[in-house]
Amino acid sequence: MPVAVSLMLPYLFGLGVLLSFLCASIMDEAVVAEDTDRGQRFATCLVFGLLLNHSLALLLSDLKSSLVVGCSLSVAALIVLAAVQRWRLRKVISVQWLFLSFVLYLACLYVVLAEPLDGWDARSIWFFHGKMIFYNASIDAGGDWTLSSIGFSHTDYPEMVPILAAQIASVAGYWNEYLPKMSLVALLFPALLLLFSIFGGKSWQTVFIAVPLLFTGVWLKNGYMDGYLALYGGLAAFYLGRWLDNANRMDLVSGVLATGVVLDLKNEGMLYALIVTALLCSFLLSKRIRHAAQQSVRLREDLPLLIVALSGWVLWERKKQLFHLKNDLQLGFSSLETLLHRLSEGSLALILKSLYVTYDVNLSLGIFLLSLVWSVRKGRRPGRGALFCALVAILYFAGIVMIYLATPFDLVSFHLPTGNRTMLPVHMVLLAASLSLFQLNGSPTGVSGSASRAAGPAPL
Amino acid sequence: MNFKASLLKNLSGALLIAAVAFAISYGSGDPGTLLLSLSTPHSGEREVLPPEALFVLDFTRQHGVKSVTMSQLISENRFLAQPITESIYPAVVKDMGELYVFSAAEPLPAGCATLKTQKRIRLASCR
Repeated sequence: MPVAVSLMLPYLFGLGVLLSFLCASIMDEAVVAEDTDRGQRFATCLVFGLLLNHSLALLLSDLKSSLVVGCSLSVAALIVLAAVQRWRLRKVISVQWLFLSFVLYLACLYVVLAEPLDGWDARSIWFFHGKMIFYNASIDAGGDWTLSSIGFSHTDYPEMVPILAAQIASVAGYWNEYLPKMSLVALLFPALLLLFSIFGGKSWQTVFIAVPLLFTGVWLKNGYMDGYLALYGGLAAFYLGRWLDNANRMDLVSGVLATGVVLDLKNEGMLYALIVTALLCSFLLSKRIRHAAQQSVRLREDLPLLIVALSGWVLWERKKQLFHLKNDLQLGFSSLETLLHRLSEGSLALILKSLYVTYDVNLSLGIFLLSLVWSVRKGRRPGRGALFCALVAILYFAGIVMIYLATPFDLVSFHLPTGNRTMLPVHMVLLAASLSLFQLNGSPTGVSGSASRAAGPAPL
Repeated sequence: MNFKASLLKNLSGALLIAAVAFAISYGSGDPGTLLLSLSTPHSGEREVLPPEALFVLDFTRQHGVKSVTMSQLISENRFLAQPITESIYPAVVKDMGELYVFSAAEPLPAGCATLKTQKRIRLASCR
């Protein structure tokens, strides 16, 4: 494997540490007492690096220029951090955490890269787009996005993973069916770090790492985006929920950046981000939580963060307009007719049965309800985080049902079979809701980890 | 004492991670083969592409073909058309391409000369 490719992680981390300059107070204010806090910061930096790299590539279009600019920024940030602000670096990484992270990274590489790329959508959509970008050394793919012969490839889909795959192949200088899958490792590694950082020293809670991986398992290495959409969706909901509970700004940063990744992974990310935004606004407008959470928002620092999180999506939307790329579902007011027709012919029951029973949403909901019952029986009131996550899951489920009702394609043969992967985010967010209940109940103060240091809990 | 306990905890964590990764990927190939696959251009194609797509891909690469046209029968079969289209890139599928790909069951179009045949697929030049 070319040496330069193995520098992907330091490159992303270098870009990511720009977060500590951009939002200095977020990184500086909280006390870092545990390795788990560092883990969250390290992973959040990597996610920020992913988003910044994506935005740079879309902004400059040319693959090599974007890599040169990205590398310059990354190296400069690392030098400044190592030479001038070493105390800040210590808040992000420790030797012990770095050792475990390295082993985890190697494990991710082995699991994801062990098999060549063989998933149908992975080959026909995501990594085909990556190949187009790589061979043309440009996000514009030499204008090939408009070729009628590649209509099957859904050229309007977000390009975070294809761009990363093309960058990796570009650094290596060749394309094959293994190496571009490193783009998946760039997503998997920070997500796992975030998961590990959630649990801290409570070893029994590693079941919450095992269950998400059990649900998403194969979807994390076959080149589909659904597993990653679910993983980041679950993490975003969990961190934003925890922020509503404890007003710890680091959780807000992690949540917003994870939502940014969701937005750049698949079109469903738009539905997810819309739901999360609407719910967050509703929660923040609620009088009971206005004080703590709203006081933790600092517009001057959070606005640039929001811009980075959204820029990839905005820039890709602009490209789509330039190339006249349209989604084949053609959702809009015209879909109302299809929706009403499907409702009248009883398709709703068919969809609900398929998604809820066949694709095991009942199982995740059961886990959440049992956790809720357990929590109530212990005399603990569920926090806002759990409610937030549960609402995100329910609304996302409803959104997907609406899309299935409005789709112009055949429901039974074309859309229902995809339920196993479109329901993954629902599973993950429901698990995040269960985890929120346990995390709130796990500490003596009702809030876990660094959260308890930021502010006290305020159950609904 | 604290340092020893922490070291032990980290080592056992690392071992657990390595064991889980090994268990998940057991049978997928040894790390040596994986490193070779990672550093070889075009590796993995033989394992994942259908023989028809490989046949067209090999021909386009060997002869530097830049564009391909598929017959209607091939185009309508997404299990053939999609792998061929994505695998031969940067050669693109379009009308009036340098190479005509058609099924062995279809007649040779007028003005075309067969270049190569393999099982279900025939390649022709139509210039």
